Amino acid sequence: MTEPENNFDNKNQITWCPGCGNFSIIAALKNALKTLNYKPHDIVLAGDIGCSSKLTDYVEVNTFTGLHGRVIPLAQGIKLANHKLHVIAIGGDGGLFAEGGNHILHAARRNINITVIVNDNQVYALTKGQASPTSEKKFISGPTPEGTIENPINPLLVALASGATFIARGWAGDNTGLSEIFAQAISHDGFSIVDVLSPCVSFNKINTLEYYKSRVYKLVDDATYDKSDLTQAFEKVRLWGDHIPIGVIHEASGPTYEKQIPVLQKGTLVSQNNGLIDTEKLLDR
Amino acid sequence: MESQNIVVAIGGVAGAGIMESGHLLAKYALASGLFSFMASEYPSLIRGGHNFAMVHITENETNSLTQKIDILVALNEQTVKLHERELKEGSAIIYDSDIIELEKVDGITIQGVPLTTIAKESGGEIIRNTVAIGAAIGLLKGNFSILEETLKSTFEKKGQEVIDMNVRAALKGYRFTQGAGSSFDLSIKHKQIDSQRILLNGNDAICIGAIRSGLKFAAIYPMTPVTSILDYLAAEQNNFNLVVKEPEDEISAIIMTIGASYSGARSLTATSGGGFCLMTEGLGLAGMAEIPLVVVEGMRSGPSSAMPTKTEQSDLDFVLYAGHGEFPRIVLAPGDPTECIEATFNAFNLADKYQLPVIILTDKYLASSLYTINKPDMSEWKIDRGKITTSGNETYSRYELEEDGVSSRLLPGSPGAVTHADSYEHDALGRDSDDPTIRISMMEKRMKKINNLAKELPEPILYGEKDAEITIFGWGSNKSIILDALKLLDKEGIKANYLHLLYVMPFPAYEVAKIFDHTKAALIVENNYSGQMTRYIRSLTGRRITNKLLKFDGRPFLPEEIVKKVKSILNTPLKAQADIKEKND
Ligand SMILES: Cc1ncc(C[n+]2csc(CCOP(=O)(O)OP(=O)(O)O)c2C)c(N)n1
Ligand code: SF4
Ligand SMILES: [Mg+2]
Repeated sequence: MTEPENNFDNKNQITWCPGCGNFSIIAALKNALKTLNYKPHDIVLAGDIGCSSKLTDYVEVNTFTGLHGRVIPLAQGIKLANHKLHVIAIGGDGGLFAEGGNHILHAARRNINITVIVNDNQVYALTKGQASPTSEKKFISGPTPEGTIENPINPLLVALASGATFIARGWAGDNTGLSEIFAQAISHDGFSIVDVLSPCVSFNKINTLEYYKSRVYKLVDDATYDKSDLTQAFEKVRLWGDHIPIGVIHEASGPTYEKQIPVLQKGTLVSQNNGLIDTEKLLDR
Repeated sequence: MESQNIVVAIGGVAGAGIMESGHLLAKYALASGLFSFMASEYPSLIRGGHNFAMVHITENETNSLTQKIDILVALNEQTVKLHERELKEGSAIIYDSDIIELEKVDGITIQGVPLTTIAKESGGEIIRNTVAIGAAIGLLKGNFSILEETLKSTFEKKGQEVIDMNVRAALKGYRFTQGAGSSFDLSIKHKQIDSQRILLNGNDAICIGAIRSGLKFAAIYPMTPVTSILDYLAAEQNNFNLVVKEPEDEISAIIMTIGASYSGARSLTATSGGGFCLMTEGLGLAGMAEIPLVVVEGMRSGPSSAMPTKTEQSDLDFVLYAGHGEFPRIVLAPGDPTECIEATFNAFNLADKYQLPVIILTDKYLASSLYTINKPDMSEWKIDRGKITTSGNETYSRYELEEDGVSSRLLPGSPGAVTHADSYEHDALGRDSDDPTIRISMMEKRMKKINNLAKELPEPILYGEKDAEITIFGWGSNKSIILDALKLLDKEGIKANYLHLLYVMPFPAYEVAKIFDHTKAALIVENNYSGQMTRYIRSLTGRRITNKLLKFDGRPFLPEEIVKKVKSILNTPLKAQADIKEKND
């Protein structure tokens, strides 16, 4: 396909329900990429499996739609082989925190320079509405007819505890804010994760746009908050209920994974010594 | 008596340097112009378990164990208890007389050596094994200067102090047994050195083949017997510009590998059966998204945890069919380190050329045994990256329907165009689709790769004379054991040949069926319970092999076992006939 003008649009038929939070996410993402002035061919959008992951079909960049729960290792492999690429992983709360829950911990502690965007609609949408790891307690769904008895996990707390150097909570109701968060996350030098509170109009009748509208407040409005302070971040990230902070909760700098791999300081892996390698000395020892 | 068929076995607790000692003996043999083969047995414990290495030293090429022990080197009492029975008239035991008491046994040389005392005098108890090797070479009336050179090259990287200490220790051990005037009359000869010969195990061979082919990325979760692939490649990262990672699990390992391959790096993962269970979803992803992928599956005893450090060939069925849905794959089962190098090199070419997963199937025995091989001549080998491109234009589509089923693969990051990969069924552009027409054309596109592939793969090799009384069928690591059995049979005037199945999928059904037409009797040898290859051959050729030699006790075959089986078949005309009759089924 042609390299388009940098608007990242394509003509593929969008299949999301009207009112779905994914519309806000895709608009914010395209806007962020425009702001950053990235070229489509330098970006890889890696997708999980779920409603949210359909996004890979609707943004005109390099894409790889992988497996449910596995977008994080996929994105890391892509990045390590060519660290000049801007690699963004997109998935849902089910894929990222249930099926592939293990991978977040390790990607975060590696501080590998990828961005993970989670459409956190607190439900398994594509499979038609089962409770997810972030569903609120008592959430009624097919497998939980009397409501969930499990407590939801706090994914950003988990990411923070695992050493993520950038964590942010977005809200689909604030598209401009979301776009700014994405731009910051993508340009952050290290592992970044944005958990987007996003409505699923079809299968989550509780956590609607309205529900969050009255509860969220922007962290940037809080002048006293120091997002580089880990202690404050741990406190802030746990806030939930009537007052939910959105925005960048923590940002710190630290050596990225790629920077600590000596071989990658010579250039990208794909650009290095293509052709036959002399293995004589390996045979001789 | 001078004999060039000597087996030295050394045993002790894990952590006592048993493998290193075996390796040292093998190196000594190589430096003496002899062949050697070393296999090791170790339990799944780091310390305290019984470790055991057997080194079979011969004048002519031998790459298997044999049913005897000439010298048993015992660093602990358990070694004596466990292996006494394998000794025969004329054998010797060298044991640490500081910690073990042994009574005289008729016909066996009991040679106590104060290994602990000597080791302590020479630099530390830790080098008891070096004293013991010195003593073994002494008892064999070997040449100390060769041993000294071997020690020097072995400990070169550890510095002069370590070298000196080991040479001192070995010399004391050597002198102790050399002057002992023992009744042991085996001695080790020295021959012209052949500088083309090297020692290599299967895992290292795979690493060499991979590096030679331009490997860039590997993600491997540790698991016996492939762990040394991870260690080897990691140690070579900076020398060969590789990135080698130990990810959080095998799922991540295979998915990262696929990601790196999508970006354009030749990428590898390795595991054993247990880890391969976790990898199967990735295998299907590579098949569907048409991503080149090379996976090493080093088999070990199964199912589940079974006997983790014991060899077996029981994952053939699994790797042939692993994954849901239908997609093309290649399965290679190299039989020795020479084949491991070449198969791995080819695996990367085939993966790139056909854009699909390639599995290299080995086992614990091949992975970790040390073989004497001739240095392969790789000068003619060429890298073929297939239809890979970094220049796209407006007409580029990733899954374009091509005559041969293989579409051009644009690497992400290439200016002017973008590329897609998709686990869903997709159209030529790589967009999700469940349109029936598209589905059919895409399935056919992927599956037809197999036909071209099958034409390209080499025919299976029939070792030995065409006109034999019996044909032995086998695959993977049984190759060298069967070849050694053929030599033993030949000595007894029995003409047997061996059909080695290296390219297992796609299967050379026509060629194998042709072999049956010339077969007077057939035997198949497999390290599993149910005869998985036997069934596979039957399903694809219609030929049934009724004479099966199967073993699933976690131990490799010995050539003698195969000889015995062949004789029993040939002595029972009805048995030998069974296969011939089957052809008319
Ligand atoms: C291995 C595997 N298990 C289960 C599924 C079925 N499945 C597809 S999407 C999904 C859950 C989707 O939930 P989430 O990740 O939150 O994404 P959403 O649809 O809500 O955006 C499941 C269970 C699958 N595709 N693969
Ligand atoms: S089911 Fe929910 S998440 Fe999926 S498209 Fe519809 S609204 Fe969006
Ligand atoms: Mg969801």
